[in-house]
Amino acid sequence: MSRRTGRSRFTLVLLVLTSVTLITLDVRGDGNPILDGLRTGALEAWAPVQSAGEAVVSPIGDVFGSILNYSDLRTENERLREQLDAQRGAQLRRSDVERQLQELQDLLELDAVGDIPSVAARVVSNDPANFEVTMEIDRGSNHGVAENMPVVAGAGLVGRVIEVSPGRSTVLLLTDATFSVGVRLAESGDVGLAEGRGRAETLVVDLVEAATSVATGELLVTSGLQGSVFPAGIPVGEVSSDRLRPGALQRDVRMRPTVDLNELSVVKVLQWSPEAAR
Amino acid sequence: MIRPARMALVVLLATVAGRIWLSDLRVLGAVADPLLLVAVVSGVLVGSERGARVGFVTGVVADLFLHTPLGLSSLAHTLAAYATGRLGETSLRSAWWITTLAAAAGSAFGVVVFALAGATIGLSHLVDGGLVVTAGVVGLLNGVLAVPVGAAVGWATAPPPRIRAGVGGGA
Repeated sequence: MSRRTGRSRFTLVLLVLTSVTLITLDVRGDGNPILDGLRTGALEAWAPVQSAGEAVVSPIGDVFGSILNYSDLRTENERLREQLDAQRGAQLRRSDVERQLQELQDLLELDAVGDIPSVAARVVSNDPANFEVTMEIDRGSNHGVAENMPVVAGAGLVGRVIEVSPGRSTVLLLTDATFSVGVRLAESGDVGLAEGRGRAETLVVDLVEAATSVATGELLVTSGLQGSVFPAGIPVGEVSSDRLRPGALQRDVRMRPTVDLNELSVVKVLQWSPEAAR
Repeated sequence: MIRPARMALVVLLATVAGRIWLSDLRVLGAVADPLLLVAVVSGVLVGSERGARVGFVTGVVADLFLHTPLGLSSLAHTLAAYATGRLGETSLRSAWWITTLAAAAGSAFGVVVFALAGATIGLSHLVDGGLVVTAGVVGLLNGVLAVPVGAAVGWATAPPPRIRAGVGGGA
């Protein structure tokens, strides 16, 4: 019995040390080409398995999803009806804000998002992990997609590409806890830093000065400041709450994304990089 | 004993289940973790040493699809499988509810180990107010799936049929 226990512990120590070694190799420096190649290969090899698996069970999954999400769907429907009414009034104000934004972009000779070449992609997998908020799209390096390219949908920013294989890519969504983007308040022009909070529906907007005037519902767009991986002017979200604690130097601003990340089926990858834009 | 081809098939099915079939079934924002479940159930059924080896493999497979450092899931799965294996070795008798309970507890333990290990290498966002809920939900969901996964792992670890000597008509 003691010999078996000793061998069992030896195996455990060996496997733990191997795991720690892998972690060290992956964390150190700018990535390990062998480990990165393994991930890219896995992503590419998984593609046909994913397609086959979805074809088999997506109808069944849709039924269960509808049953499980019925309450959420009803709540969401009510919220959207209220939002639609509020949007009618905000539409006029937004048109003027967009006009001001376009003037600002022209003045600073910034890329207009509409002029940036893009690759349309279909969302093939949503976010199957507990600690990451990602999705997979069916376009990769063979289609001109590269790491760190911004990803957008009709209403605004979705995220950025973090992994690319020849035919597939992984997109880090803006709600992920490791995601951050420089933003600009559309009305005041003041800048801040929007950061994801994992599964939460809202993002935190940091570095907004206490003196800044912030309005609930105000649009935030990418600031495109120097070094940002996102071009300026992409709608990111709307202010959902704003609070200033007594004595605080910064406002506590929360933002809701303009894009419904739960309903994405088609996105666009902007073939843009800060180096190419200079 | 572990039959490699069968276990490979079980791991593949667990990967498919986790990334396709179960990915939309979220409870309080968390999903079941079939690969972790295979690891902890293996620990219960085949012991701590073999379970740890299975956990290492399932963890590496999980890491290939995540963007946390490679080795983080293998560390968590290895330790969780070993811990549940030790628990299984000390049980006086085996019953389906022991497997279910061990799978649930082992899965929650694996999630916590993953988050804590990640936090030690700078991934502090893994350890936040939602970790307890995530670990609890993963444990609960994996516990629900423990019986069918236990059957699959049992199939993958069943000893090969004994070759019977010829009887009658000869020799």
